[in-house]
Amino acid sequence: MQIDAHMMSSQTTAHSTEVSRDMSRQQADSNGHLFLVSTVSSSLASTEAAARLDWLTIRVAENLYFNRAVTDRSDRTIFANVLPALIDISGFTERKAPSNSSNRFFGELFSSFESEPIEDGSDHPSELIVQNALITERGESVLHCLRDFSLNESQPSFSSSVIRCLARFSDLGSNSWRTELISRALRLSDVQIRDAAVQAAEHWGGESIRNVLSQHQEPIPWLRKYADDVVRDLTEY
Amino acid sequence: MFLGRSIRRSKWESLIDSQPDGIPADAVTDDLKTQGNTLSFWKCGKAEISDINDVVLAISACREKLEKVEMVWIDHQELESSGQELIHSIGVTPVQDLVNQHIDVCRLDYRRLGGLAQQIFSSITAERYTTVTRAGVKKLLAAAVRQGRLRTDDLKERVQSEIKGLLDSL
Repeated sequence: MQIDAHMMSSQTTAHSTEVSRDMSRQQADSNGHLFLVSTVSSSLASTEAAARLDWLTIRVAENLYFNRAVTDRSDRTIFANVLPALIDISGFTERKAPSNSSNRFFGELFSSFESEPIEDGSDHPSELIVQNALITERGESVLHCLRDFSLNESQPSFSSSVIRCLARFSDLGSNSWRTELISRALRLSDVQIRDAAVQAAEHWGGESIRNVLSQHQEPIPWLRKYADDVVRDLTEY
Repeated sequence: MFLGRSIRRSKWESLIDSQPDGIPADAVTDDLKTQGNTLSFWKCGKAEISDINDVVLAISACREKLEKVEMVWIDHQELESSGQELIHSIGVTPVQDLVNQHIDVCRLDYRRLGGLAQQIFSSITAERYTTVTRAGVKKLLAAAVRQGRLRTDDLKERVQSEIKGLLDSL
């Protein structure tokens, strides 16, 4: 794959531009960054700088298209390295593609729940997996992955197990991160996920979480009672 | 008399609406995990509040973490008449006056485990279950310590520190 990328960047400018635009279009559906590069390139098409920018566009496209998969570099790093002076990327929102490390993280957590369901009151191997990830990986990426895992309604058993595991970390993320996670989980249709969200609210506590829980309209009676009891407890303590 | 056991209520929920008689497989494999073909229960008297609290106390006092307890209770007579084999055994709990309140449903096989799952499911549909919140469990443990039924030193370290905190604040 790296050899192909090198060959493409050595083509004529006109051909390269075409390649870059094609690649930009391919990426545009799932990646807003490349779309932006393509737009900048087109708007400067009549200037001398456009040729240089087209070449840079190719580099960005190559990096995003080929090297990201190989080197596991983030989009932000790729942009910063290739276009340091031309584009201010400080306002970009990084949407990290599923990387090898997040797949591995998912796999480890999934296996841990599959081999041993998380039970109330008992330690679970998933706690160590999350703890290690928080220590060894970038905290922001780990939280991003954990939020995705927690809100994945196509795998409710896994998602609810992740939330139960996270509930055991009293200072995970910021208060707003925890509140948002609970708020979004409570809006999902699966009862296991909502139940886990109420349990996480019970563990994490705090005024904003209590407010989210008290405003939640729970349709299932036993879970509504549990949520009401937790709101009462959080008000008392 | 009733017999109580900890469950995860949401596991038993998913198929209730779509298939009234369908017990979710996860409920059986997660909540009815046997050991030596045996499943553990606690005597729950007439399932009055004090009886239920005692079962919650017995269960939570030997846990590693302070968390909510969800429990279901099933009819002892129905269990026996359905051919289940019950034996008294010593319960694993630091609450000494509850140690002898333990019963094992033993010699479980595929058919008997299915029958037991059906009884638990029937109890749930009859609303014979409850959830005691984390704070509720904490209060029960602290009350047991104050009444001399339980020593804080007998609790697991992390539970101990939370109960001590509550006792100190009273």
